[in-house]
Amino acid sequence: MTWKMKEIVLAVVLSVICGVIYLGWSTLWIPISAVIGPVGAGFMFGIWVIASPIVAYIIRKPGAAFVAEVTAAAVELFTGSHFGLAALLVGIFQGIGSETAFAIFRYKRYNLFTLMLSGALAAVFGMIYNLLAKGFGYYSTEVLLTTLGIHIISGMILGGWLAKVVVDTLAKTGVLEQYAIMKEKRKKEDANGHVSGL
Amino acid sequence: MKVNHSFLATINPSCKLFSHVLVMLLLMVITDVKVTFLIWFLAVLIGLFLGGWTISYLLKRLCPFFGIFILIFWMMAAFGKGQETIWQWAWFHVTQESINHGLTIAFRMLAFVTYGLLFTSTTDLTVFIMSLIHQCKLSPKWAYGLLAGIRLIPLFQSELNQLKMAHKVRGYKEKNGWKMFLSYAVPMFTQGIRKSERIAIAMEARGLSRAKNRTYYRTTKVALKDGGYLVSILAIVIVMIIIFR
Repeated sequence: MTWKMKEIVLAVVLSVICGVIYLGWSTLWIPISAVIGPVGAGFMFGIWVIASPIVAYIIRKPGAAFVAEVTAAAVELFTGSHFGLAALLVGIFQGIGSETAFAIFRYKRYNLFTLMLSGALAAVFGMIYNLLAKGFGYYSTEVLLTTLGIHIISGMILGGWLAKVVVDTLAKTGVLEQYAIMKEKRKKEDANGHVSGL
Repeated sequence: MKVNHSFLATINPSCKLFSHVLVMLLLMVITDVKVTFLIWFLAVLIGLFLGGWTISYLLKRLCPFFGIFILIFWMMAAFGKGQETIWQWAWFHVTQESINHGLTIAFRMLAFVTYGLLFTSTTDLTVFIMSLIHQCKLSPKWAYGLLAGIRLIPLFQSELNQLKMAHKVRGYKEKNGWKMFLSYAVPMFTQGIRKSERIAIAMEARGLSRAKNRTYYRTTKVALKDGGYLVSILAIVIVMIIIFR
């Protein structure tokens, strides 16, 4: 399946907006995590995986979720942040997680369930990175499992569910008429129309 | 990403990215404090001698990270696993092992940041994307799309300011945090989508979406010194691992 130019630019632009949001979210995260600790601040994790469900839900192509998360992470690199390369690695892990959720359903199902699953799997794969690079394996098992649980729930709500709310609101404004999300919707409505017409 | 005029700035960006990511991957499997520290120190030396950093630049850029360094060290030392208790108070439990782990992870973070800085401070963004086309076989369609998208970052920032001022001038105040989020997010995203559509049409009209065998104004190549950089940095790191293990 080849990507059209406008789909490529849309994916990049949406990821860039998400990347800018990530940067802002990071500055919010540091003071909060200093007060209530990194485990508790894990509830804010979900926003960092929102790019994948947003872009995949609109464009509905294999690879969309992965590309979105990596591009959003790379915004930090492009803006010259020191965390750039590390953010890129995290983005690759989370992108693989998100992509898996849509791949399981062979890129056929894009509903609240798959979007939330993509948020959850991004949290799981993000935790694999934390184990490898940030030494989370050295924490006690309870701390580790609590953090993972909080991340998964946050990924499902702030990642998956919020992405659906945002995209559905955008669809109402009419700017998404040319993309897969509205095309499929129209196709479905047409099919239903014919059935009732019989 | 702003470039200086150092030796490192002349290294092929893809090659540089690849070498730094490889070093970072190696760092992930190293659990020794001494080796991790040395690999971080290597990055500092490269920056000073090949990357055109001055001592004051280095201190200014890395200073904020010493705070994070202490934070990471403390979290790992106080909440990590371990047997040989050194100090215990309330739920803090500092052990010999957890201090070691804390230092390793904190130096690893510092090394990640320094290798990242080494890359961003010596790489020009356009040259980097061009090198992704030539060396990593990224399709030009994606590469130009990426460049167009990155160009929008400052535009989005000014748009956000404009939104804020528009709200202010019309006396619009929203107490509800959720509604406030949507009142910023929806216009930002819709403007972004509209802009992306216009950009895509403009790019198609100028033939930027077409086949791979096109010509380029700027081309990047891999020279001997690029390979030399990759091999020597890896060799030094591996020798360090073997000697100090």
